[in-house]
Amino acid sequence: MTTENQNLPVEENEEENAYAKARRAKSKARRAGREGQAIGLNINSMMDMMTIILCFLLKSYGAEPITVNENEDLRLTFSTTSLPVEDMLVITVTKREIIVGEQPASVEIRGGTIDASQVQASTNVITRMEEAVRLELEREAAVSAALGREEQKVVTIVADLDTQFQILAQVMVTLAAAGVTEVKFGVLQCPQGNVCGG
Amino acid sequence: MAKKYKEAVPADLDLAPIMNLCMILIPLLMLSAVFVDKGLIEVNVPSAGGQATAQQDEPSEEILPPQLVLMISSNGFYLRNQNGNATTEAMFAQYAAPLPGCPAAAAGGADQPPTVCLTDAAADAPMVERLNWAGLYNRLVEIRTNTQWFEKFNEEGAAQIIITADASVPFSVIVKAMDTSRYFVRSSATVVEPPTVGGDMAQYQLGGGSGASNADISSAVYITGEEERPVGLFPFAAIGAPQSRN
Repeated sequence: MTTENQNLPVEENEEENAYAKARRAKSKARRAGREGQAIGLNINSMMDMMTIILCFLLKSYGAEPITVNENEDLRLTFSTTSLPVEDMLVITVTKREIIVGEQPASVEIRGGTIDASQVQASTNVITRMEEAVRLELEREAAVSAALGREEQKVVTIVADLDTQFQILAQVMVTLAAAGVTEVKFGVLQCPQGNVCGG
Repeated sequence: MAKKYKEAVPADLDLAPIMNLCMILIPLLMLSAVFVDKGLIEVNVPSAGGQATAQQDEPSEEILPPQLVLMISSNGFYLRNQNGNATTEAMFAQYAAPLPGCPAAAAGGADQPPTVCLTDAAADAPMVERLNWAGLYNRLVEIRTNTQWFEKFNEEGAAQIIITADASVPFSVIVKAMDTSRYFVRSSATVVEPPTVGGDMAQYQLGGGSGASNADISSAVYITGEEERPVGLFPFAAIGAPQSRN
């Protein structure tokens, strides 16, 4: 090896340097390998980040006055409205059923319409839904009275974007019959001048 | 002695279970979180006896602002006046008539033509794309800025529009109609002052009154007045019962 190096005077130093470097690197790696048993992954910063994200997500989840689980049967439409959401009784109209508060009102929607047997022909009031809304309003009135708040008969309608107008009109008439004085539509906000969704 | 030695060794906190919990909770919460703000639209509940009955009883020929009714059908938009006053009705006739470029009433035809007809979008396109929103907006601006009614709309602060539709019209179209009729808008490139009586009303129409497309209305921004609040066009919407359009 020495003779070879002597024969190549120009490349000699370079080659020797490279060899020495490689050896140094190898021994360093070996040393690191030995010590590696003691070196643990420092996850403190990751833990900090996760704690912050967790707090943020939990807060945003808990602070929503209206929770809507969007799925295939309930997709919300976009609107340019700037009115913020408030906590109130929610009527959810999906592709399959009407839900009053948390309880399904046993009103099924088939093929985009409500079965005629569930609707009063003369007034368009959905009988079962009216009962459910009355019960919910009574419950809310009791809660308001207990908390010393002013009673408000306000309802938010959260409807699937394909809900037919006929159902919407029937729901509105039913709410009016049940004594609701104010109705609001729950939508997703899309500021004017922007293009949202489809 | 041995016991003492054991206690002296600092115990390492085992973070693995907390990490596991975080790893599960974070994706779960992120999936359920919706990063779009929700909002509300205020709607007036239809009264059982129908609207504007008090005004219908008045025998006077006073120029009352029209009680605007917007009917949405698969043929387009129909604008009607529910205020039974003869003077108002005569004044309103020009606004109920079809827009320039839309088919006029067929002689002896039973069906009245829509005030705002459909766009050129394909027949199988969604209804939201087929309806001419810019045309509707421009016609609403014409009604709202009519000099004889302008102050009355302002005074009463009750520029209400009753929205009704054919049974099969989807909810998204109703919401879009409310959005279109709520506030005055302008194209984002221009600066327009809030409307005043006797002003040049054509400047509030998109595309100078004609040739406006639906893209113009979706890219438009509100005209703001006092305290940077948008200026109302017909800010109060009510849902009416489905009714005949003739």
